Amino acid sequence: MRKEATTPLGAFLQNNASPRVLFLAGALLFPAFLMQQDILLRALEILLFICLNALSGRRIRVLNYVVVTAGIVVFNLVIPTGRVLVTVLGLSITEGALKSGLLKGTAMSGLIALSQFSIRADLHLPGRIGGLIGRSLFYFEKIMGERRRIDRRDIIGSIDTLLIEVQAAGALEAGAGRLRVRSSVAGLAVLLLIVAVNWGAYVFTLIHPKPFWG
Amino acid sequence: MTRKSTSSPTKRADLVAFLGAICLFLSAIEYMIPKPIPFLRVGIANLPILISLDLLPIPLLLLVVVLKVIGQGLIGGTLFSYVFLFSAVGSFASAFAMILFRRIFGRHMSLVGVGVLGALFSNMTQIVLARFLIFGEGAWLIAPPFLALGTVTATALGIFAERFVARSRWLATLRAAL
Repeated sequence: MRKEATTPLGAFLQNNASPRVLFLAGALLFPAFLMQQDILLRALEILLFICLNALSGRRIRVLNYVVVTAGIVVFNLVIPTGRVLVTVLGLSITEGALKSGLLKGTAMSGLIALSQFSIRADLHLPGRIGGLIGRSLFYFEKIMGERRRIDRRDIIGSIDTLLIEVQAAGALEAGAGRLRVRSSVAGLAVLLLIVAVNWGAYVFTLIHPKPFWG
Repeated sequence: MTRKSTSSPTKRADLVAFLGAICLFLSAIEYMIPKPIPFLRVGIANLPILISLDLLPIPLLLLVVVLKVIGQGLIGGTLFSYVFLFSAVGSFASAFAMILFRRIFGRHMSLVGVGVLGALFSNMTQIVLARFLIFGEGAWLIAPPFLALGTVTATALGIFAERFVARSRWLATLRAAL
């Protein structure tokens, strides 16, 4: 299930933080990020999440984040609110619409980046649904491993054969063991630091409301 | 149209997990298609639900949707983002619509029609969600191309599903076993 991390932070987290602890860290970061109303601080938090993803060995598509945020800002600019900042090609860019768009756009991008950092595919959820998800991920990996057998000249036939074989092979391999990771003190300390930085930024804005731009 | 099962609960749970895995595989393929809005999807991951409409009872169909939504969140790492919310709302809206129309019209409505209605319900709920969460009133601007694209892709998927259901040995074996 787990791929070997190729970066130092990725390897460190993979060996020192269990998927459940990483999930918990994400759950703690989630409200701190979403409640942050200062756009500049929020942008810095996104940058932190993107850096953490990059350092963890995830492939980063910065353009995706830019396109997502810009798209949301543009759609929000359509409805003008507040004072006019500038007029571009007949479209009045208003302060209220721009701020609203930036807050929503950064929320979208930031939560994607945060989520990608804190959710690992080997996260084992409890209960019956958790068991079924684990089984689904097991089959998913089997299908992914055989995907090159799908023939463009006979898509339906080749998919059909693949499904028959993967399901039959999977039924025989039921209950394959999972590699469990225990969280170490060092792993917990790193995650705690990340959580503290984000909550610290939020507490700072409570003491000094909207210090930069919000 | 009544589904009276003779197979064991374990086998049916395994089938549900397998269908969920196919959804995840198709999601992975869909993930590679570049798109300007993260929740804008072609909808190929709904294909397993479309082809199993006549195969599984409603609770198990909905369980496949749950596996699809949570699995996508885990693999794509979007569990904490709005993308997960859009995915969940769109997937359930689509599934409810497809189940409802299939149950009402049975084989009088093809999988193309069922799929298109599912896509329309999914896209409309996502647009309403986008209106309140991210785009504001600007959301209505993306509605026409969003719905049009959804209709085109759902038609193509419906045609594929019809052909797959007619030809598949895997599906025939499942039908006989369930």
